[in-house]
Amino acid sequence: MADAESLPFVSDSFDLGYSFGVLHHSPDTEKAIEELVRVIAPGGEIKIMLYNRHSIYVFNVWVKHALARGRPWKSLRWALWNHVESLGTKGYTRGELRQMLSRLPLREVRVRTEVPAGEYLCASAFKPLNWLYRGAIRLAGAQPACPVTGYNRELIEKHKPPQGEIEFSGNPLGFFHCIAARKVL
Amino acid sequence: MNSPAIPWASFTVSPREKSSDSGCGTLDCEREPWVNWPGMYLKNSELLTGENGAYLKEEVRRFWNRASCDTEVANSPKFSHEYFEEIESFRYVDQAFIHSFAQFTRYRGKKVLEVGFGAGTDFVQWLRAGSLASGVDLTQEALDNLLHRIKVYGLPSPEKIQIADAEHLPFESNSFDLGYSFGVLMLAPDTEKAIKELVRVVVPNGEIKIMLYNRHSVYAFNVWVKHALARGKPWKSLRWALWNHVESLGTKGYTRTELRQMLSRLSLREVRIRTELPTGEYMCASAFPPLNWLYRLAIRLAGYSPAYPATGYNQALVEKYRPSAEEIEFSGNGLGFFHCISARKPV
Repeated sequence: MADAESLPFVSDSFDLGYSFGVLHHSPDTEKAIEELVRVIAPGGEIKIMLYNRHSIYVFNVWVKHALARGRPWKSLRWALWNHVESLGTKGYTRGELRQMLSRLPLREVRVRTEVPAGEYLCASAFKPLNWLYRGAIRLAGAQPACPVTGYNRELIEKHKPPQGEIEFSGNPLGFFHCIAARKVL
Repeated sequence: MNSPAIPWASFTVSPREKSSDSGCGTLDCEREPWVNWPGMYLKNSELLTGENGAYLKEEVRRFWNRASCDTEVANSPKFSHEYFEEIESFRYVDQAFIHSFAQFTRYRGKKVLEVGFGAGTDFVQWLRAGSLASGVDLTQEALDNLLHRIKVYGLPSPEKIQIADAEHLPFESNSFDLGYSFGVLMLAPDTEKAIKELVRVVVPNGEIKIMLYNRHSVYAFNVWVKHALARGKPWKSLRWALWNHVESLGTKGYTRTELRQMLSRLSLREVRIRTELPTGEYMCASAFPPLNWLYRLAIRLAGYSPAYPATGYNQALVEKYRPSAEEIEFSGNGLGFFHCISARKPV
């Protein structure tokens, strides 16, 4: 048993640090990510999933617990904090991820935002809203990630993120930010 | 005369000398006039069977012997560690869904047969996962790739890997827990027979997982735009475009309806078809860049329908929407090029 914010391992001891849908529950998420990066060897990888606050899922939680209860002034943050799993759950926008991750010694940061099937299926607390949610998910689309190499190299050169930039792909309205990155040497 | 299993593939060719290998790396159909044989739509042909089927199969073998699938993306020296890394990195960014489809690690200790392993990218996942993996491929090139790959990564030996024809698997019936074939069987002259063979060698209640191309996809449409419309032949069909201009000669693609018909003849259970869209297809969708926005819009509007889990948080919803074991479930993006089909052999 251990706390993600103070991992009982010496620095640089793993090739991969993996944490799926966990660190946003920790009171100090940024510290928990820093800890994960600390215990990874230089050149090693981290793969973490953090919730997306600007997602259909969170909007629906807000509709259910804020709007429907006559408290439309409550925020998406509030909805996540109080009504998604354990108390104090957080969610990050792409902009916030960019800020937070750029402070860490990481390179090749790739963020793919995914929509779980369950989210799509049971998206709405109120059935008539389903068509709206599904329409939004469709229109948001799923942007592709860019492979390092491929059949059409010209296109890859054109599409790949600039050196040092974060690549965002997937459906921006999905609830799961799947983040992969490499620790600098 | 046998009626062919797939009517659009019905044209008569007389077996003839193979045209000389141009060595250009791809099969140049324009320079091989018999490919555009006007009798392509004649009904009573034997293309898929007998001598002509064998001829087509030889074309398929010739094409894939030049380069196994995805090996063209590598820049590093052939069979080096870096060469295989590049292939793997490309494949699993471009087709990341292979992992959720195959679920390699759930077959630890299980007997798996992969038909058409190609460069072996998926095959090494079975070995890493600790499956008792066997594999067949039509080409020596694939076998070479796989043998080097196993050696380069120091992986455990497979049960059996050999050159064989998907339509005549050299295995006894009921001998594998899973039959896997990703993007291969629609290249075989008689696809339905190849699927039947795969089902035959799987144990009762065992699984098959196969990927077949989708004819009604943005990708196939784009190939048609490029090779039919743009060359002033708009009367040519999507079938024609796939047959002549996607990979080896004789490539086929299936609509959801055709899959439903074909698979229902095999009396499989729990047929789940997820239609997926590789990244490259989205990025390089258009032969003409101005068409890109149209393709991307179509892909967006087609949306992405979810598959239903057997159990879930909202059990009432799951019960309501989940198809029964006898029904076929379709999910994913209807305009994607890859039909990922999983099913169970009846007991």
